[in-house]
Amino acid sequence: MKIIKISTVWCPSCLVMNPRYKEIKDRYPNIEFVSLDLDLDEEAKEYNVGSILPVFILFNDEEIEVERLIGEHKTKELISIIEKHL
Amino acid sequence: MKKITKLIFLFFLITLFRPISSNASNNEINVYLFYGRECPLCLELKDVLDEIKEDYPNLKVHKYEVWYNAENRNYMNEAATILDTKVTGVPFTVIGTKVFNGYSSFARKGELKHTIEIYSKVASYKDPVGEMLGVVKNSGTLTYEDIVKASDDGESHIFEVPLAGPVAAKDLSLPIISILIGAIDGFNPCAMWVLFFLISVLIGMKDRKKMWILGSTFILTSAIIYLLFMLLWLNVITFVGSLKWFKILIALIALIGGTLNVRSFIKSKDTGCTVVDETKRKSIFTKIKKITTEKKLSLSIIGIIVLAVTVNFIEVSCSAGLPVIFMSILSMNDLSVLEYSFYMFLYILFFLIDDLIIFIIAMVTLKLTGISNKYAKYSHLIGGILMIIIGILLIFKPEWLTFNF
Repeated sequence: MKIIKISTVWCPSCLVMNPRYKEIKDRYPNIEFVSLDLDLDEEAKEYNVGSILPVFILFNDEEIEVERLIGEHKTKELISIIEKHL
Repeated sequence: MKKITKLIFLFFLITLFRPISSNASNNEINVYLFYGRECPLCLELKDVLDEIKEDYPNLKVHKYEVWYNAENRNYMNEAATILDTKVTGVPFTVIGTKVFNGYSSFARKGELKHTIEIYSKVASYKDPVGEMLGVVKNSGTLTYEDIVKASDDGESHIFEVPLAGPVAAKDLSLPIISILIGAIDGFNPCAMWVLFFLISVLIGMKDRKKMWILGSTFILTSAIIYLLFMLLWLNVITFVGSLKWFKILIALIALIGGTLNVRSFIKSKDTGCTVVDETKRKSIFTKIKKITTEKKLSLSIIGIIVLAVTVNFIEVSCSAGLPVIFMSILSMNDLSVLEYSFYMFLYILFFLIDDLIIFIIAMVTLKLTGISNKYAKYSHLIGGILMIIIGILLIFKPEWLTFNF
């Protein structure tokens, strides 16, 4: 499984989500986590991010997008979604 | 059935725009204006009185030229003695037992109108100067202070506040309104992203002194821009404020702005940051990077000021009219210049309080802490509801928005 997080430095919601994102990373060491900055990383534009940030995109082992979470979410929510696709 | 609903809707529309009833009563109110022929302030005051006469047809203005007419001058001095005051200059205006020494258009118009509103509440009032001038015979007994005290919603509306002791309605309601609307307006994230980006760049600079200077310059400039915008608006209100179509325009701004705010709360499914258009973002980023890497501090400061000015013009236009409504409420209250400045300062302080907190924490901890956008979302909801209420009050019950009636 792979999780891509797209955020920016100027977005308060992204800052709010950072510690939660770190918690998830520590909890699932064998999931691949990729962080992209919408302003600095050209690659971020390939995931047609809408008008709200941050965005969390979950890919299964076949690299197919299975879930997309937009904006602020509680850690529990993130965990339950990951568990669903593990 | 369809016809009836159209009729009801039409009727609602018509009643919505019926002129706001002015509460002038039929008792005659005499104003004694002692003026100098070429005195500019006197001319201005005469215009203001004529304007107020539109709302108060029962108002009678008696004019006495004192620069060239000795008899009138004596009358003026005698009026001052009767009312136990001193003439400090013209125009010298008397209504009942209330004296207006001189005139500054900035705040006195509100005070004049308010005094006339107070005297309109009673059938007769004490008018010693009128008796001396022979305009009235044995006038009433109520002084201005008596009427204010007696009127159930006058300045005598005192609350017993723990610790603070007795507080008059006016001293309680306007600060709360300033803080409330200021804080709600402040949560508007329109220009917040620029501050966040600036701080993230400042943190990366590792030059503490420069960080504090540039960051506080940005916030201070934002405060000044907002203050200028509010003063501009106050001047517009001072000239057209009493006109009915203006009150309805403000009410419409409040109703539309409020509806937009509530709608944006309902529509916003996800709580997150709205992504501003990329070209605008990139241009501001390059500006910020250029400013912060500028060797000469003075040039950096100028760059930050220019940036803050441009950014805050975006903020002013996107804050859906809250400051406009706030200034309208202030202007409906009878405030001195000092009181105006205090409430505007309070508004701006709470408008910027989230920026200040974020900046100070970032500068101290060298870490940028985010505030959840759910507060911005709820500020849209609360701000929207508040604006709708104010809009409705402006149309149906404007007097409820004057806290010292």
